[in-house]
Amino acid sequence: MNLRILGLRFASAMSVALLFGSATTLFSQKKPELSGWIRMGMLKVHEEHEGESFYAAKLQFEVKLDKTLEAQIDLRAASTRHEIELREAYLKADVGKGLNLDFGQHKKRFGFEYQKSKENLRTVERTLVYRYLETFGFAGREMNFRYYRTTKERERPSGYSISLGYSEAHDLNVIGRWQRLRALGSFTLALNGLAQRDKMDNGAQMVWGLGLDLARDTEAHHLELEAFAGQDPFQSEFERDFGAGRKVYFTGGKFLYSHRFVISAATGKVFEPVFVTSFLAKDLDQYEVNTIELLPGVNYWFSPYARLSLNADFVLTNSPGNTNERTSVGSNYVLQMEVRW
Amino acid sequence: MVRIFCETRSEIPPLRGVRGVSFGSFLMPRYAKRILFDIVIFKNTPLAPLKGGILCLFIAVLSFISCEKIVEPSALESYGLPKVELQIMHDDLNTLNSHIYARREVPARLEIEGVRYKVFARYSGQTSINRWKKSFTFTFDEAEPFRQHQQYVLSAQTGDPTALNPTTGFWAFQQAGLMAPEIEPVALYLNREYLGLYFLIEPINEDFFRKRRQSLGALYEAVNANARFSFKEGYDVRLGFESRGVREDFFGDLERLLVILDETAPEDLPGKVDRLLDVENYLRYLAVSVLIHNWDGYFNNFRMHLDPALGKFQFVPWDMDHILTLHSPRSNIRGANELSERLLNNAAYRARYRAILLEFLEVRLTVEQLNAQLDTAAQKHARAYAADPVLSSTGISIFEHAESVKAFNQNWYAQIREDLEGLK
Repeated sequence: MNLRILGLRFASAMSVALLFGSATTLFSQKKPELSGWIRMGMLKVHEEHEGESFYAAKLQFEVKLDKTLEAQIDLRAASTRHEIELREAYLKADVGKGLNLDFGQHKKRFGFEYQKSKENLRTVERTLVYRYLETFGFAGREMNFRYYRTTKERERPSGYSISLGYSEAHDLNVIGRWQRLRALGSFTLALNGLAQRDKMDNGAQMVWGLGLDLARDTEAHHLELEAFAGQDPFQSEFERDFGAGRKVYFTGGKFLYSHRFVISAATGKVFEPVFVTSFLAKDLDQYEVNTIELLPGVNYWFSPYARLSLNADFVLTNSPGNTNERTSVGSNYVLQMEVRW
Repeated sequence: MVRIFCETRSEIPPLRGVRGVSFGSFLMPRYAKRILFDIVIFKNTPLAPLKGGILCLFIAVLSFISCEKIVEPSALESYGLPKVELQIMHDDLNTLNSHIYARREVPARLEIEGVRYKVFARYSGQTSINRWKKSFTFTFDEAEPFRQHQQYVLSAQTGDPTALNPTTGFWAFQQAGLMAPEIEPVALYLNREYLGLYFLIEPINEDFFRKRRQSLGALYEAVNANARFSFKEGYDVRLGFESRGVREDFFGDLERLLVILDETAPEDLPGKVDRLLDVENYLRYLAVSVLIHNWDGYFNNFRMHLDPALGKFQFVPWDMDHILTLHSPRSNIRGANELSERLLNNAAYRARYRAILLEFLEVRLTVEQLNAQLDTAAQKHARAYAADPVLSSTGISIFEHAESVKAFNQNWYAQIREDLEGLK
């Protein structure tokens, strides 16, 4: 009997064993928990003549396989797409004492905003620097293995996370994050690091990213301060293939402040103005060419599960030929109703 | 030091009736100290709960004071070509760039010469898919097709540093009376950033044949640089062809053609092979390929379509970036695949091929016509080429490329004339 047939028989036997094993667990598990949101609203992009209405939904299933193992599936659909997208699918294992393991397709957690789901952000969309990081895959979603320790008031003031990820574009990365509660007064301090082996047409390059964030979250107000620096893989690849071979570095920062004015504590009605400013220079050698984001907005919470948001996201960019004047291309105004469960 | 961080209030320009604000100089250390001071002085006062709001107000006031002029964006340069503007949202770009090989589709907005389309965009290409300058395929809404097509290709043609080959190549096949995709050079912008000189290329699919009053039959795409016409050495057609016709994954008629080629003596080929293959069409395809040096089109970039009304395979060229350059093993008047070899072993087919070559050399596709086409393309593409970040990086102008290709053509045509004797 050759090795191939032996291998096939072994695989079949394993499949049967796994099937019966899983079935036993599945029959004994709890019902899946459902969470998610629906969003609807109007979007007006500054340079467009007309606004557009949109709607979108997220459906998240959390299945407890046993006391320590959980499976999570995140499905999304939106008016801009034909189909329902499987955004995340991963397993989460609780190994005790605040330690966890995640494995599967889920968030690439570089920076403060990517520690959170969109519905937990103060703004409707992620802010300027993250939108830039997403385009070359420093943030987003991918297949990864993550080992992390969560923080807890008084018990575990320090937490960390380390993940090893692989994208379908054949990029391999390691992302680390360390954070400490009340590190600077009442502020939580976190350091982020990313190293990525970026696959190119003829070889690969190593790129990196660093981030520092300070956040303060109280009943009344919320404040985020973030700073980033790193190497742009796209522009560095371009310079290597067609330019002088230099490495292109970016830097950016963000300040976000929101204040919660409680209108009715009983019903959870809250009025929450938000203000964001961000800065992004895509090439440190041309630092004077940069983008500034100014975002005034408000959230009106009808209850802890429903909010109406209005964001005016001004994106002001100058150009290498004219650093004194800025255009507002990419600025947008969003009015959105979100209900979560 | 850059302006945004170092400008002082005295340097701040006066308000000039501007419409917008930028937060300009609030980050400077002097202001930062002031902000901190303001927060501190509010401590233990009734205003303390509002200090965040006051901070924001303070920033907003500073931003307004340090107004810079906000201007309307200038119109994007078309470089004398149709302008194509592609807009893809940041999270969709993330999906696109994180799934390059899976060719994931994302929603996008496309504007071609002022006409807007809502499309789905994906990266396309085979060997070129991970290059810096990527090609795209767009899927249009059924109710809003583009040039009677549901899908269309925007190709970077990265294999061609001259940017002359794609238009010249398809033009040559059309001159020979063969079916070839429509092609149009354009200036492409992605989220208002100039990506370079691209080519809108009509895809070869059901819509392509419908436009030419044919219906879709069996359709095979030559892929992986491994499209062969013999079963010798245990060849499997699935290694070099993808079946895209009415019966997807059906290869029966193609396999029948290969069996005929393998098992029939050269003198018996007429009457057998021409039941399944439009031999005249193939000989013309071969003649053009030899003249424009379409060496990639012998085993890779072509399509074979079996028109149900005709009942025979016809060849359609695809991807013309690798032409007009020498490729020593394939630089041959007989072409370089098993199909050409088998057909040209037959005296009648060889004579016909020689006649076709002569017709092209002297009437339909003379070197003067070919070189004039190159001059026209160079003139048309020159500005977009010069601004293209990739093409212009070589430091060679498009006109220099054109001159060297024209000289190459003169020599190549002379060589072909000499080699014609060998076809007798």
